[in-house]
Amino acid sequence: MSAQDSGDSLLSRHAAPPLRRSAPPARPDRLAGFLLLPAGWIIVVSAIILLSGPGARAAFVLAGIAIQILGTVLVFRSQRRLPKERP
Amino acid sequence: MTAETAAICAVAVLLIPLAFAGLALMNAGFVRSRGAAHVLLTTLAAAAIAALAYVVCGYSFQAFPGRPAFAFFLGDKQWDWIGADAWFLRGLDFDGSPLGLAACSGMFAAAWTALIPIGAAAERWRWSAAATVAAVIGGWIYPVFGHWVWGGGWLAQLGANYGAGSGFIDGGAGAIQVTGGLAALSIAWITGPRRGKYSPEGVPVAFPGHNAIFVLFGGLLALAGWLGLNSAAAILDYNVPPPRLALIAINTVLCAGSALLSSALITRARFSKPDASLSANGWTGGLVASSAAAAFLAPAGAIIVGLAAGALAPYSIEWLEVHFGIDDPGGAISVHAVCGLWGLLAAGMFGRFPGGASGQWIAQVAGIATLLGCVFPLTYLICWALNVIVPFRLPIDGERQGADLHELGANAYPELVSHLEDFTQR
Repeated sequence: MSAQDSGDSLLSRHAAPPLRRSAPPARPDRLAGFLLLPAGWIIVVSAIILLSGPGARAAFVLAGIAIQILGTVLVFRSQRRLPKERP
Repeated sequence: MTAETAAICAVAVLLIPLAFAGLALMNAGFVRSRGAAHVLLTTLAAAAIAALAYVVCGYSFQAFPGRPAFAFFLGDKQWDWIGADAWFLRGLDFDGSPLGLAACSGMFAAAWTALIPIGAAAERWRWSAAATVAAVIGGWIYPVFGHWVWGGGWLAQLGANYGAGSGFIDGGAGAIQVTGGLAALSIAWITGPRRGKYSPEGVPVAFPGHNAIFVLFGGLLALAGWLGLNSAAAILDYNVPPPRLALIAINTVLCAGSALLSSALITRARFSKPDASLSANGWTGGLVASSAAAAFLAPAGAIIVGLAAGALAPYSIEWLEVHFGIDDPGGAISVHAVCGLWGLLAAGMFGRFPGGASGQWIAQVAGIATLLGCVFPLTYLICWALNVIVPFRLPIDGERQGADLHELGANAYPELVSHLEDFTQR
């Protein structure tokens, strides 16, 4: 084994390519997802404050949670790396 | 609070740090040997700095029911949104009153919240970044949500003000576990996966933890801490009488045990043998879920909560890693955030609360919505800004050397001078 085949050389040859240090670039679905999360929260809290009937209150609370689930899905999808982006 | 109750509560509070030791051991065991000492030192530093930040200003923001708070009126209802107590715990008498015990319990809770993200970002984030995040969690993020839930804030008052059951009930699953788990998710996204974790085709590569003994013994140690947390929260925040601590202990163990069984059976069915790491994650997930309402569940309800938590933990770990490219070596996101959210929801479904007030599930859903719609975006935004100021990610050389050698100057296991995986073509 020559000096060039020392550990450092082997490491640099076989190591994975550099990974970007920061989060993936901004995508509109991430922003939309992060906006839907507080929007759903506001609907849930508003329903509790403004509605007294149990049926209407429950319906709006569930609608708010559904919006948050949609927002969560969008945020997760936006953070997912495409295969070609992976190191 | 009588002197006997205060003494019992003090013992429960003093058990809480055992959970730190358990989680630290688990996280150290989950990572490769090159990052074990870094994980343990980061845990110590995060707990210390979060506790410091909590004592300096966090307690002031969290406060306690009956203490000064900033509030506004909506209609004729008062909305407490943040505490306004003195900084540095000034004015507190440590004479066995609930205030002193709550301050001590809050300090431990802040430290606990801050050390949860360490499992998710292990092996690739800097010690300084962990310390900075811990200061923000201990001084701001945990205390604000803690005030809403335990400091007489608006979530706790949903029952009295708007007829939503007994208000949001949370023995620690939300304020500590889910808050920490969502911080872990934010940091895992911001730091990205470890080098080599994903093949060029996007297939995750297994990085087995280096010590299953640490992982499993850590789980046992964590049980003692959780018994302390669940008991202290029940006495301090919900005025549960000490004789009920037996039920809390039974429910905590039932939740953890049934979760372990569930995880072990699922992994055995899928991989032909029970997986030790995923089963340990299931056990911890059961403990997390038990924190929501251990004092208010029937034992049969605790078993159901635990069985579901034990199924959620391994499936969500796999799902996040395979489908969403989230590299979470310790399973912190699944165990603390996913199982914690389930525990909060289950409290509304299976809990039996004093007075039998209806609409408890609405209060629980409001708490969950607040965690997802307010705490999570806020935490992500803060971590994103901190990453600009103090870059979270280790440099490439640091990851190649290992966090131990790069950041601490020595390996946890100095006899291991090379790492076979660095020389293997993936």
